[in-house]
Amino acid sequence: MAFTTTVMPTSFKVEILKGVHNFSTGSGQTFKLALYNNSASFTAATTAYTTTNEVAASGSYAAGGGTLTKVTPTSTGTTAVTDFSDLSFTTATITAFGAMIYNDTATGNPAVAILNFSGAKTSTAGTFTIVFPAKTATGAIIRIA
Amino acid sequence: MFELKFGQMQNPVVKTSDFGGLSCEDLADLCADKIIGVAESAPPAIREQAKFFRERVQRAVFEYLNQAKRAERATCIQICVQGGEHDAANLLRRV
Repeated sequence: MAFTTTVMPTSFKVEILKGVHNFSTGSGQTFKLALYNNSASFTAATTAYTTTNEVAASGSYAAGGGTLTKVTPTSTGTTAVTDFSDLSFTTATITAFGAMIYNDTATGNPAVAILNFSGAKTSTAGTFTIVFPAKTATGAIIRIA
Repeated sequence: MFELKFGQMQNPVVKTSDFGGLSCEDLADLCADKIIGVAESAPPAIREQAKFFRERVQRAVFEYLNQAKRAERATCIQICVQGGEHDAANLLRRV
């Protein structure tokens, strides 16, 4: 299998209605981003974080991935948006094809987003940075219109 | 009756480097992209203006990042010198 899609898991949409996730900066939960090799085969049916096919620890990347810095949800026009600060792993030797954002606080580590890097991204004893889109009504990583 | 729609998710940008951190040029690009976004559907005149402004921002950020890098290195060299680490100071001078 291969990493083929950037998608929001269906389970996440259900969990939003159940109030499972809280993205607020102060009282919110901890969200993490884990990196995966090309054997990972996530789809909209993916529900939770898994260690299977996660890249090995290297440099500042540890098992489970890195903690994301949240940006409190706001609205822009009639669209609700939230965002994360860019995440960097330093002095890391990593080859990753994609990533999963998941809720590290909620029971079962439910998945929030599956991100496809559109090919292998490699750092060798260097910096591996994931850049999130600007927090706009048309670009933010999570938007509800 | 009411429909909540999640926006189409975009592929993230990934920047990597080998044997060190990201270059000032990479960081300036990331910074400019955070400040200025141009929709492909925007009118051509606005799109061109926004792209021109983005280039100016990128160049300014690049220049100041380079200055910050040199200033930080100068500070580190002085810390090494004051700590008697002259070899380390010389290594930093050659970076």
